[in-house]
Amino acid sequence: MLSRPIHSCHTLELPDTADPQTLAPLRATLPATVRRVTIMGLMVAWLTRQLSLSPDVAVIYATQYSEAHALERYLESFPLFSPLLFQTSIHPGAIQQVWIARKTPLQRLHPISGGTHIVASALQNALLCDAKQVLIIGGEEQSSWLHQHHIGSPNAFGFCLELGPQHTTGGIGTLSLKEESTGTSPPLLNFTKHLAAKEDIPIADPNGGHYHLHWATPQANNSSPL
Amino acid sequence: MSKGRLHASFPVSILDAKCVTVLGGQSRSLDCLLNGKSGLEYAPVLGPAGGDTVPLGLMSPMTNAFPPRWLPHLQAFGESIPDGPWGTPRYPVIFTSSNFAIDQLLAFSLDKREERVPWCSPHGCAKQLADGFGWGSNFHIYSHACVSAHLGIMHATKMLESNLADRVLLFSFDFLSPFVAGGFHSLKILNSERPAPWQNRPIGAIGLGDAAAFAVLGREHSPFKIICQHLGNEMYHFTSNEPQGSGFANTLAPVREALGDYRFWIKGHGTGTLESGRLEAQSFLLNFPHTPLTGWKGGIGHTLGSCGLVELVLAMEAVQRGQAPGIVGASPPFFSENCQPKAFPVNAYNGVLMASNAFGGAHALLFMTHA
Repeated sequence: MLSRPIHSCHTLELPDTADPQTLAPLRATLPATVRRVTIMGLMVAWLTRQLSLSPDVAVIYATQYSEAHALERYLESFPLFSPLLFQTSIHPGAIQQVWIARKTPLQRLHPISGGTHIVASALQNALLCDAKQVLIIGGEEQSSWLHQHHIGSPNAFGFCLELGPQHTTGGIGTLSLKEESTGTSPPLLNFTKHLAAKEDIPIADPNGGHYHLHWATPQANNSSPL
Repeated sequence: MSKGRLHASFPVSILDAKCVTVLGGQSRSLDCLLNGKSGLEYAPVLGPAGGDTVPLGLMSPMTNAFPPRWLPHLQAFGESIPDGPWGTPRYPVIFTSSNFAIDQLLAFSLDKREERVPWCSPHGCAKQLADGFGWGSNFHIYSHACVSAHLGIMHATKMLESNLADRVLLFSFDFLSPFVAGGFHSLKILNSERPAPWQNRPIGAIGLGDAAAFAVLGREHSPFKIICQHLGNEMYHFTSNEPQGSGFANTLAPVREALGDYRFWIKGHGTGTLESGRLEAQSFLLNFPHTPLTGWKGGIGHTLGSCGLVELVLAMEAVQRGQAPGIVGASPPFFSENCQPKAFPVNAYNGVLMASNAFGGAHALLFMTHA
């Protein structure tokens, strides 16, 4: 059975990100010299600000719509496209912005997208990766008009689930793959809420079986910046 | 960046694989590349909206059409995928692309035609394609710019190694649109010059191309096997590499140790940009001093997220022919002496090292052996 201990879990749901006050605490988690970070980049910076990264770390980055706000602005710049917005609208811009800002090389980066089964896909990637430390980072930016057509998120939210080495124990919970075909397929926002509440949840795997998140301790390991 | 260990060393078999480029299927494409022919032609960078003319390898002119102008090309290519229970348990499909149907999103932002919406996200595009091909919902989607296909191959390898799959279908595609052509043009690397990979010249330039490829990966015997894979992300800058070449060196080091006595040639990334081209060529020369280096983006264009798989299929075709194309579109002086401007025999080799790079200083390497 594939399993990994959960070492930490941080979640974030933001109110209207068009309000500069919302983003100010997030900006403080990056060096002052770093500018032009996307909203998703700021959320990733905040979610990962307290982590101690192993040299043998892998990042699984899961988002359906990626840098939706930057993408909207890039589209609106047609036909005089902005090179900066082109770069930041490309998957996986948020992770690259933060890791570049922190001057930290990253050997393994697995950016995924998905629909119904995006959470299962992220969890499978994490369990199959042979890195000692795995971060599953996910979330969405709040779009301004794409979400009206169901191709963007109306909410800004994110999570970072830190996992330890395969088949070890300890931590605040466990992620494992089990043979029984059961569970649900929550969208990323619902998964974030489950994580925030530290709820034991079975996630259906379309490949067969399910992923089980079990929490050893109910106390939350996340806090709001607001 | 730590050198680390190989990220995948489980040998997977390539049971079937095909590609299509602006030059045609893999056989026709290789014919053209062996003769030094390029499929890149000058076309307006913004398609129907005009703009500067740049070298593009288009299977059909860029338009704002709905259904997408590339869908008939992809549907026709899909006919060559072997039947199987794709998308059901133990037979996953892995979609990899940089663009998916981003042309539809740009067009939707301009004309608000609702029928485009189901295509406008990566998962929406993948679902439309899976439904059209009659595949199930057991699929994964990777998008990491120009190393996307490598990530898909690595995940397929992990699924096979862990016995979570019997076979994996990897399906990779990228078709050009004003969105991506305009983006690279805004970065000034898609310009009026034709790409000349690894050529030491004053102005760097890339060309872009439409392409698609598939591979069926499994554990059964096959003449072609992928025996090691490795990744790295410099995270030095969005669009440039660490200037001393540490990203290339650190990604190559564990691969060099793993290759031992294999006799191989190298298909490099080689887009035609200058600084990354110099670092890549010199790094290969330093690590593998007598190993031929070639690349074909001067002939088929940079096919973006699909390039890792498209060029792997072309390498397989070259092995079967016993002749690999040289660097199409470039001539001496090169950044390193192992660059091969002309086609060369490959019968004496038993492997090919394949490399791709992407934004953020991303590196992806795989090594394919053949009987």
